[in-house]
Amino acid sequence: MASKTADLDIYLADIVAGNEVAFGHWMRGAQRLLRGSLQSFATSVDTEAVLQEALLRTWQIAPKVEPDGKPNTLLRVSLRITRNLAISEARKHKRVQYAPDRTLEKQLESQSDGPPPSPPDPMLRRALQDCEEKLPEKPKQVFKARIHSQGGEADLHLAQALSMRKNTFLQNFSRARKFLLECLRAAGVDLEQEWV
Amino acid sequence: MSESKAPQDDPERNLIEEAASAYRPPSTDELAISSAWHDLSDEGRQRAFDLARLNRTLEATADPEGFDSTIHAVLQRIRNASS
Repeated sequence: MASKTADLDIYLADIVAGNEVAFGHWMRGAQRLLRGSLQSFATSVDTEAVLQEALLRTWQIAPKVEPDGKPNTLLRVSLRITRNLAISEARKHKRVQYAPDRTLEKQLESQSDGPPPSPPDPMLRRALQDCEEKLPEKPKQVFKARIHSQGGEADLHLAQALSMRKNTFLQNFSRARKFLLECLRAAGVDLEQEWV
Repeated sequence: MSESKAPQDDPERNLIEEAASAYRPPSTDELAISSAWHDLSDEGRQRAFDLARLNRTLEATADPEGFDSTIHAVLQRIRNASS
């Protein structure tokens, strides 16, 4: 996993200067590894909440981070923040004790041979938009509502805005995703393989 | 993944779907944990983790910058903190 990670420190100077968009691009490159590092915590902590908090703390600490001459200084710091936060949460709720594991950090110190983060593929986005247009009406409304909310609105509120019950909203989102994945697969795109 | 079980055999389906969203309630001191995640079984939590990865991929594909909902949510928290 780490061996395919580019050196994301290319964004560090802009992040330190307070450039939020640069931090967005850094997160785009870092998230797969950070989220993956939480795999073993999936049943003991809310990994989405841990990841968002760890990313926020990474932004806050970035101005104090000094490059050490090795690749991915900020990512290694963020990995530590993420893991320590997950361990702290797991212990707080007396779920599981975790031994510290620095394997990923060690790999990142010496490897940065992955491709640099590439811009989003416009053809892939167009294929998704084409599939979205083919969605049945209710799943289409729900998918658009979730996407446009950008993680900022509770499903209950999104459902109410569409005059739906929350469970109906959630079922329609499941239907929308299933439809979109099948539609994309028919167009030769397998999004489920993107994380493998 | 959650798609593999028939809906009628899957009592946790809606909770998993809700927990796999990037939305987390605002919180000032404690970590903002999803109530849906809290109510899930261990198996449900594992499936929510896997589904979240798929959702983030879908969201990033739909976004012109390639930013998924986790990234947007964190950027919003940063902007809220600085305003």
